[in-house]
Amino acid sequence: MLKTLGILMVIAGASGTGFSMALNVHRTSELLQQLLAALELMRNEIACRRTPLPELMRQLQAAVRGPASEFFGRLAGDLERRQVGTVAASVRRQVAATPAFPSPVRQVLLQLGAGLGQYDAEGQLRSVELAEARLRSQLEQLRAQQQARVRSYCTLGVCAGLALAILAI
Amino acid sequence: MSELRIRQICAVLPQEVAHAVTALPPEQLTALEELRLRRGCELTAVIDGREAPLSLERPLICTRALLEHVVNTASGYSAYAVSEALRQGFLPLQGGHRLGLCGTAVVEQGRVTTLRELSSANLRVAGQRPGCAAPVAEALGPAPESTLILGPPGSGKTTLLRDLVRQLSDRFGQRVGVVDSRGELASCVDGQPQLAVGRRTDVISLIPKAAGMELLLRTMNPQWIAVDEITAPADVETMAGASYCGVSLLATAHAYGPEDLQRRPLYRQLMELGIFTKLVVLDRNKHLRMERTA
Repeated sequence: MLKTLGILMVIAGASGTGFSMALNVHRTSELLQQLLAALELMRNEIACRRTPLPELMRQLQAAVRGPASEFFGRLAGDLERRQVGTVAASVRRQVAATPAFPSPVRQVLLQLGAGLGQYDAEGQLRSVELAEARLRSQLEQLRAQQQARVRSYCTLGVCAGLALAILAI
Repeated sequence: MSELRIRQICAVLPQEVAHAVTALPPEQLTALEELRLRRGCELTAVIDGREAPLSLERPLICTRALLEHVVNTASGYSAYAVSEALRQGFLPLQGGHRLGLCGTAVVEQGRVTTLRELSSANLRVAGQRPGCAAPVAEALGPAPESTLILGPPGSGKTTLLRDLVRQLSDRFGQRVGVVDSRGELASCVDGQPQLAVGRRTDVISLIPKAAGMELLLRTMNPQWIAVDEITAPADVETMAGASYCGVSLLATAHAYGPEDLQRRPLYRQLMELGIFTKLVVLDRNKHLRMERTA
């Protein structure tokens, strides 16, 4: 009885790990969509209203959800307090404080941060567009592989569980 | 200087520099006029017209990072949002203070588009002297007499004009339109004048004077229009047009007196048009006298 229970737990644990990895793919996809929505809003606000960055970051915080919203909120707080010398320094700090951002997303945000507030509106818009293009390409890549990856992670988890169970028997 | 004004100044400075400012003796803090930041040099303060090192304990050197910090915080980290002011070489700050900037100008099609490689900055503490225009305001009252304020640089023409606008607006209930082409008269931040210009005053900022006057005439139905520093023939033309519409004008001009005014072609033309009936002449010691134009 105890052995069966143990085997079931091993199968459940390994399958759970597989499902969790599959869920991460969904989360990354959701995060990329949120960031793209934020960058689109940022581009429009800069192009049409020349909204200053502290106010803009607050708008982005309200417009998106999850880790992206928290990131923009903390960035807005930094800029409102005027304690950082440059936007890049604040972006670096807040990216480091957001573990939910995968490495390629971090790279894009750090590059965007290096240019934020430094140029005239046209230069600013170009750097936002570049960040949008890079995130969109990441999202497309992820979408192309998403179904296959989700299926593989789930299958791998279940199979690994079963294999462990067989070994245990 | 009030605590609020110290906070407004220190808000754009790095902590180390802000500490040096707040460490100034109270009498020096009250008389603080400017902070000068020149790249590679020691930070200085202009107090009562005299420039001296800001900190005597430890010299504070102006670095590129320090200049960047000041410009970033003064512009709300958004140079693109204040590009018109930046093009003119200054940034308006909360409280009516302003940050003047020097660097390498980027010129496109003969027009300065922005400044890069900043070399120095001048943080000018806003000087308001409420009541300084009382004698002029009393002499004018609500009587629609266009008035020209003359004086050499630093004689307080803008301060006098600002207080005159405030008094006409608040004391005499007049509708005044202000064309604040350099952001010095009302110093608007987020659409709100940082310096007292009166409750019945409409301000249009960072626009060429002639265009600003036309816009005010079209949209705000002012009884008075105030502009700082007449410098171009287009300003004179628009002023003539406005005066024919029954609007009274308040303006300032760089001149040592009525004789000096006549020596300058632009001002001579202005006087020949007979727009201004009153002159207020300021001297270097900020004393004023009023005259009627010939």
